[in-house]
Amino acid sequence: MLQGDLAIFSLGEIFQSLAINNHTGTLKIHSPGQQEKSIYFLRGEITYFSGDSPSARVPRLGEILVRMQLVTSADLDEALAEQRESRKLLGQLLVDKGRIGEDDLKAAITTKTLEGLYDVFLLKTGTFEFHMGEVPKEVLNDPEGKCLLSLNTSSVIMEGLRQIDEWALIQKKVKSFDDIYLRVGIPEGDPGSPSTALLDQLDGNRPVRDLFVTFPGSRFECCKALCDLLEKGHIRPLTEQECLERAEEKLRDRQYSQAADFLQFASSINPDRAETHSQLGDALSSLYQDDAARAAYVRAIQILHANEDYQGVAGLSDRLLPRISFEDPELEKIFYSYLRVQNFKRAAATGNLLVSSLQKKEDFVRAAAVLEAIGALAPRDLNLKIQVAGLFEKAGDKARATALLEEVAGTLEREKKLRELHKVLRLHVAVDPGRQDLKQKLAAVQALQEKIARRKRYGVTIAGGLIIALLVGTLLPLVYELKAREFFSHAERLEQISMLSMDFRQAKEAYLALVKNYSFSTKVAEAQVALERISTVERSLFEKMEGEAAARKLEQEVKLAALREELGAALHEAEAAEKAGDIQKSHEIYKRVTVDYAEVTSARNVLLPLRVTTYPAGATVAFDGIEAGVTPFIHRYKPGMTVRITVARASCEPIERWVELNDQWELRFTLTRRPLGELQAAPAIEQPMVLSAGRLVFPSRDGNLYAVDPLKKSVLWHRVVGRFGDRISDVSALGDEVYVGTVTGEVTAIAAATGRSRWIAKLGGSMIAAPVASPDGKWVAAGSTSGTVHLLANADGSEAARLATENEVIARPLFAGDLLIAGSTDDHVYGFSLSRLEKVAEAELTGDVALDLAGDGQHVIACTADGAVHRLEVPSLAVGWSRALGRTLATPACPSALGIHVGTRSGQVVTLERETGDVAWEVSAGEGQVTGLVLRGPRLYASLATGKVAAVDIEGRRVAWEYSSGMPIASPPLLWDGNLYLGGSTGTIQYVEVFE
Amino acid sequence: MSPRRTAGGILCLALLLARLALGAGDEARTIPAAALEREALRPGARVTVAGKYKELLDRDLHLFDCRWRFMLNRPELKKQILDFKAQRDNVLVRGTVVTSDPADPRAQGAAPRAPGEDALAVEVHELEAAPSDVEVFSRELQEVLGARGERARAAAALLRRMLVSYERHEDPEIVRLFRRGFAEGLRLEDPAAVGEALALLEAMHASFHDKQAALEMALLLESAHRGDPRIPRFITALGCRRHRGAWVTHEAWKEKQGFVLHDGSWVLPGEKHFLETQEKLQGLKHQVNLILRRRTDREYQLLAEKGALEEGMRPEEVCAAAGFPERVERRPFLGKDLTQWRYGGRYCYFFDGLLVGKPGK
Repeated sequence: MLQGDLAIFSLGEIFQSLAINNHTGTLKIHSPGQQEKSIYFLRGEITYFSGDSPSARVPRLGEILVRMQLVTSADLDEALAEQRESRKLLGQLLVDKGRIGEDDLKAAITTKTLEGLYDVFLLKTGTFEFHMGEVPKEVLNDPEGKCLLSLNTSSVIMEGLRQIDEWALIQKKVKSFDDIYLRVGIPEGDPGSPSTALLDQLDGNRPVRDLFVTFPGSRFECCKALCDLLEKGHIRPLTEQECLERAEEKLRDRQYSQAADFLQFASSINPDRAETHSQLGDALSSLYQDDAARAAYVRAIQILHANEDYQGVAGLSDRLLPRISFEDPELEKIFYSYLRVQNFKRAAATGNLLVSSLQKKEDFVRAAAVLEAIGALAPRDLNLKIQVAGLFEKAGDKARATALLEEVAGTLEREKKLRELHKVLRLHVAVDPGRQDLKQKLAAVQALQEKIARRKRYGVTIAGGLIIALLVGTLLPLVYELKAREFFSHAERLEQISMLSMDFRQAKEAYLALVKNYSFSTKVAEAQVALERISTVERSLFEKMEGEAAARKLEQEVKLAALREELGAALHEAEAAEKAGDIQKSHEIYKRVTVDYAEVTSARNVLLPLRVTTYPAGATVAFDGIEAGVTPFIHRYKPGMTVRITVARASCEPIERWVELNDQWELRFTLTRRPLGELQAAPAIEQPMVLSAGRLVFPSRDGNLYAVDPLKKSVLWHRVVGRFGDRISDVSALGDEVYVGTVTGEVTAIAAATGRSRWIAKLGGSMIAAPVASPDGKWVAAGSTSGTVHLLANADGSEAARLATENEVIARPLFAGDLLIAGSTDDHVYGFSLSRLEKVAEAELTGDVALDLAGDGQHVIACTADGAVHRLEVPSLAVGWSRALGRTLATPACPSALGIHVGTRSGQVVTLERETGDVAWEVSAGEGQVTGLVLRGPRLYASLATGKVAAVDIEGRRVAWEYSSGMPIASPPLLWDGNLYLGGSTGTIQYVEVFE
Repeated sequence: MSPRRTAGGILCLALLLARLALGAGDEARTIPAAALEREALRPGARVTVAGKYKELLDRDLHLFDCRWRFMLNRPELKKQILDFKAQRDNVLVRGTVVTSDPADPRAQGAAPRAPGEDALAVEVHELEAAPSDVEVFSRELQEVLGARGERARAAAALLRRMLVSYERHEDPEIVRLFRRGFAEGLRLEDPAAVGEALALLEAMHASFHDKQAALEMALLLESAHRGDPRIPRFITALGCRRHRGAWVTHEAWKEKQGFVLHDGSWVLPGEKHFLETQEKLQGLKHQVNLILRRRTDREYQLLAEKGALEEGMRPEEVCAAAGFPERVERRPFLGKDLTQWRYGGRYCYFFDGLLVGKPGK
């Protein structure tokens, strides 16, 4: 690296050296107050220059382009606005927009670089560094040379040196670029030459720097032309007076920029005129050029202060202060100017700023002087004096600090401001710790302060105590007497009441309490008199009551003797009524005895009879947990007792009730039925259950046949006869065997005890109706949905005959003597002879035979899908009668001695006359479809789909009782051993006791 | 008016008068086609023949009941014949009797006039629409019913002609006319006529194949001759039976019983659906790896809880969604079995334990 000082090595020498040695690298030039300049050399030639110009002599690229008339000013303004947004280089932007060519750009850059380089030659002070081999990558990687120049260094040196010489001559004429020239006379010359054009612009309004923009040449050339014109006397600079006049005119017109130009030039002509600087500051301030304005004001103040024009300084300070910092050296001048003109307020404000500035600089002496000067303005400000003392102490002038503090302490002592005095003394001791008198005085002041505080506290306490004592001493006796009088009034009221009730106890107690508790009261004597009065009245009253009691006792004894005789007779009568079963009468006699002969002790202890009954009977009744009997029975009770009665019976819901026994002669409880038990036997029971070998056998929709032991309440066996969901046939039973058909047309004979099959007949056609065995056990008949009735030998299941109908057979066939009777959905009932194995009779009905046939040996009852009931003669199958009921039948006919019963889908049980088929009566069993009927004696039990069971009294033609199972029922109930077995669609079997 | 125009007009008028004078005698009588061969016609004679259009072979028109050819040599006649419908329309043909050329292959089969003579044909000059059979029969029936004296024989003959006509072209109007003629033309109250009436009904049934119409007319006859065993025998022979006190045809009875026809057999609707589904599911035979159960058990369970059915479900899941079926049918199918679950008129099908068919919406 090569480095040095420009004062020793001129740039010409440096350039020459680099060119001769063909060096490549970067030359950096630093000059005070200016930005760093970089000049790039490639093999001794200048290729690039960067850095702002050291003065305003070097134009910008846009200025050069305008000057070269490559773009107009409007184009340049537009490009600059666009550049601010796009952040592109100005030259590249203009090339991209097509305003200039690349050659134009290069020429402009060359001009700019050369002018910059020539300008650098003017630098007289500064340093330089040459970094060998360090060239930016952009310079090395630009083989096309778009951005690079190739300037002959020798030419540049020559031209630069020439311009240095000429600038020296020029600056003698043109002193600064702020000069303003005025054309004088009309010169002769080439109208198109630059000098002529320049002369046209010299109208006494534009400074030199404005001429650069329009002059068609470099600034050097422009200035040179001005020199020529000056030498030839074609132009002259404006005088100071002219400048001031024109500036004043422009200020009036608010043209501050031009006014500033004139004032600037005027100030350069006469730099000691303060007013010119002041006006310049105002103009620049209007242009918001604060730094320049501040400089102008400062210069004006300096001139005024030098001329001791303090009034002028103070006037200018008002304008300068907003722009000045508290460290500015002019601040002190301004402060003292304010003092001089006795503007105390401004002086205090400026002084405070100045003191802060001086304290920061630790110039405590000057700060104390300033503060003392402020203190002179406000002699009663003790705080200021304390501050001054502090500053003197910091400045080491202990004597002046002590004097000031003593002065302040004296003032405070006179004014008896002990707290402030205490603080000042402490400060004084800190300043001068060796003075014992100050310490003693500080202790005395402190003691005096405490004494005064203590005295204040005692004064408050004594006054308060006196006030409280006075109040207590006055009020207590008054309250005592008032309470005593109130108590006496209360006792008097009690005495008045006791005269009416003859109970003097409370009144006496009240008077005695008064005498005891208020012995100092004025009412004590009156209370003692009242006590004596009450005692007298009491004595006379007691004597009177004793006489009356003796008379009543005698009368009672006589009456009791008579009652005892009557009581014996009444009790005999009650026992007789009870024995006769008339509990109500017996109960009434006993009750009368307890009332009428209450004076006799034995009568008061008489127990009343109570008959306890339940429906159904046989329930165990307990009173308060103690078993009293089994209904119906007689229980005895004492009136007025409340007992807990519990009633319990198997197959009924228990009852527990609290009853108050007063005068009841009968208690009746109606028990609610409940199942004896229930068993979850299968997934769903939707078909009739049959009883065989002591088992309940039924098919379920899971494809199994189930057998349940009703006594043990358990499933004994289940056997697969189909698949899940199959609707296998209903089951029929004969003896210990059951018969069932499947959807694939198989009929099986199964032992109900074990679930084992004895034979299986494969017939074909789905079976809906139950296969039926003949009463003699010889045959089994099975109808299928293919319309065929198969007659099987029960011995081995072999098919003996096949009897065809014309539609499905879904109703259970019926054996009647030698006849097998089968109904079909072809509206016919057919009769087959078992001996001849052929059809021997048929009857056409009014609808499909879809429900099982019923018979009594002599007749067959068929229900058809059109809602009609038909009675056919056996064996001819002649239709005896047909009765259309006009509603859909839901159950097969159930014949009894009192008629033929059928259930309907609407929940009715209809009974027809056996001989005529007329409807004898009907009863509603409930809502929903009747799913089955079962008959026992005078009762017809009807199950409904809603889960209800109704027991219909056939003789009374009414529903005797109902039971709700709580589960949907799709199959008829089964009655066995006094119990009803209900199979629910949920697969649960409920056992319900039948009691009537 | 010019002399040339006057002469032309007179000539035309003369030709028209000559034509009227020559042709008036021949066209006075229309010959039925069936009677044409019986007529002594000579070549050159002008004839008008009425008959039923049977067929058109090349340029020759043929009529029913007539072996003569009617030659349509003029192009406009061939266009005109296209307006008529064979087997149905009756036509009126006007032309001249000509001798058939024996070398003409179209003359083969034509009726010779006499042994050793050439066959005759008619060269057609004009075609015209003739009254239809129904119009003719209607007019004739009206004449028969209006005639005095013995009319049963004529009515019977007319009814038989109606049957022949119906066999040629099945015009339902003829059935209506026949029923009217049977009811009003025959003497149904005459015991001697029962045999003839039953024979007519038998012929009618053979022609019309309308069992219901035959039954109704037989019942009409029975109402006049109750107790005559021939009539129930005839009705039974028709395949009819008594149902709730009335005679019904076998088909009507089956329909009343709820049966429907499937491939010519009477089956119940559920059975028909089963059979049709079996045919649709024949495709399962070719599906070697039948993967119907595409979802997890849990997904099927959730579907069932919503009441939705989807192929691949097990019976338990279908049951959870739709409840137990009212009836179940099962048949062997493709080596396994096909199960039908019936919910009223809606059906589900399981093949090898999985749902393969569900009811449509």
